[in-house]
Amino acid sequence: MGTKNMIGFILRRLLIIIPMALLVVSVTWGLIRLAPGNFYSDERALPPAIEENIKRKYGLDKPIYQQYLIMMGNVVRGDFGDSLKYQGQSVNEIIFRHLPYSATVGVLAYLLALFIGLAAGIIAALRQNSAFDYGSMATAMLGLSVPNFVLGPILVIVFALWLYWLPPARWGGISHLILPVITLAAIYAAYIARLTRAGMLEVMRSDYIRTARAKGLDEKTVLLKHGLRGGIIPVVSFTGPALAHLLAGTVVVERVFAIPGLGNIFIQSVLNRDEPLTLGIVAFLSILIMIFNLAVDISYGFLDPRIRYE
Amino acid sequence: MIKELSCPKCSAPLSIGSTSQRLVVCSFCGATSLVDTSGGEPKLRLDESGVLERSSGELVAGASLWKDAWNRLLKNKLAVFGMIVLGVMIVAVIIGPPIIRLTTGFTPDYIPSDIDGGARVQSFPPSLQHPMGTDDKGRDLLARVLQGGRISLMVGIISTIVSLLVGVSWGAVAGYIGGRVDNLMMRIVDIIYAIPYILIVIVLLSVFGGPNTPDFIDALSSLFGGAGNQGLSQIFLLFLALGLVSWLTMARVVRGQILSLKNQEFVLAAKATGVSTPAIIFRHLVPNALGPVIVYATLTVPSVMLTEAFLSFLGLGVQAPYASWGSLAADGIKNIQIFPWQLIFPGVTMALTLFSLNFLGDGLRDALDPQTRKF
Repeated sequence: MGTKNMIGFILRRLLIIIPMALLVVSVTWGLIRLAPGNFYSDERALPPAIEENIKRKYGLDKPIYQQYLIMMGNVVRGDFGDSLKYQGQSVNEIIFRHLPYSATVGVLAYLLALFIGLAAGIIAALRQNSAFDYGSMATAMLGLSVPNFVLGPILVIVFALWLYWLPPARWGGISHLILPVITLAAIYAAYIARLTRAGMLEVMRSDYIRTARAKGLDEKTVLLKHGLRGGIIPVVSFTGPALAHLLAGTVVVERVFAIPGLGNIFIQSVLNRDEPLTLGIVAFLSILIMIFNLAVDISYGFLDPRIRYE
Repeated sequence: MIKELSCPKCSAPLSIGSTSQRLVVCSFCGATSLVDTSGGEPKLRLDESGVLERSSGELVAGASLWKDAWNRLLKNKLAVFGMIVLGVMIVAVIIGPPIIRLTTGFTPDYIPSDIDGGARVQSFPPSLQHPMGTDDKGRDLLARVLQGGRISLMVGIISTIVSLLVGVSWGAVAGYIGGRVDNLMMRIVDIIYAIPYILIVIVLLSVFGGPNTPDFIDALSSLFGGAGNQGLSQIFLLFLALGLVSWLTMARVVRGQILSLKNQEFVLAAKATGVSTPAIIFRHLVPNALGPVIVYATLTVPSVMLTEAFLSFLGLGVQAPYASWGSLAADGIKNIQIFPWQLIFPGVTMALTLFSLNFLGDGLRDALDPQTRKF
């Protein structure tokens, strides 16, 4: 694989991201407009004159295609305008104010999930059908089956309300991070453990591992240098979208632990019909997903030399 | 050496081609005979077990793919455990509420007005009268968990059927037709993937909710005894909306299967005999891709149930007086410090069900798809 090839591949993929994100924004805009109701409509109907003024102020009196073109024009320039709900705050401001909270919890949860998941998965694969294998896979299944809005409150009851070890909620020092990070990491750790185990079992039976053993490499080198690289490919492909979602925040954890993250802001913006904010977060999220997917595709080449970029 | 013998059943002449031949089929009566060479001279013995008497081409009765998979599934203890728990759960949610009404008189929506003067704390811990306690309105939690189970399990089933119908058709058409159509259809899938599903669900619910509910949804909900019932119609709308956001992976799985199948000889044969394209897709290709589809569908059920629970947790899903496990758990979280049973019982019931479904899905995958078996 030539470096030139790879640079071309990356450039092409980066260029596709922009039109794809614009398409996603367009579809989202269409969906928002499809839903009946408005951001200004309340329980009570507004007097027609006031409604008229609001419509003029936000350009809602123009033909729909003009509204679309104006919106797209702004989005292309990276300007999503001001939030309709949080008066006087720009969408970009809101996103970058709340992102650090979600990103901190998300990245820590991801690292924890990766550490636990990989360790459990590798050991389970190496000691297939052992007690550890069954135990860790049953635990992983439990992790997939307990909704995080059940796990989170249970952790709060035990560690905050009974044992008084950790604070129950809110943003503060490291001790405030422990419970939300564990809650968020649980399901991802379970996925990663299962994927790692399956991937390792598959790889350890392949020809190139037999070759590595045949030429007399010690078991540790076979395992870590040859086995792991191929075995974690499924984990890597799961990781891309998962990390993007973790960075953008997970609503449940934010609600349970009162963390001012992006996920909750997004749900609120959808419920409030806060169109600019919704579009901004959707665009941000979709670009993030596509960049992580690209990173995943690039890393395949390093993990498995047989994979070629086209 | 050719040895002339006669059929032990109808005495017609039979010949054996060589000494190594072990079986012979009579060309007159069709009976299968075994060649017995133990006494030196070959003798014919009628096969009385009937096992070999299928046809001359297929001597041993072959176990069908499905029978084979079923046997493998039964060997998987965890999958059997999952099936039993699910079976018990389904029976319990069907017959449970009427039994509770007959024995203790509680219905899921019965709010007692005479305890503590009617205004004080009304949530009671588990007792003989209320095995799971009551919620903070005094409603029997066991009755509500069972009633909620009906809705949660129906979410799983109906939404999965919707996602199956859409996903299988979409993936199969894209995979079979290929080219530009495939490209376009799969890019649409990519785009929907990038839009947060919660936005799609909210839009579907608000566009088709309330007075705009399509007639067939009302018809569907009246099928389950909710004729003209707005609340129940909204729940069915939710089922539909959840199905419509969870078909994407199914479409990808099916497309992959169809791509690997469509160049095989049986498709060529079907084309050569003039079978129409829709018939090739749905009569010839889809049945051959059914294994992975079933496996993925089993894993869709728990994931849809989790999504419903999540939406109910956010207050967008099932609304009171109806309940699902998700909405019950969401209610329980509010009072978790004082009335922990309000979260624990619905939460554990739901987790147990999802646990069983996941094990069943894993077991089915191992049984139907032994090659990609995850050991």
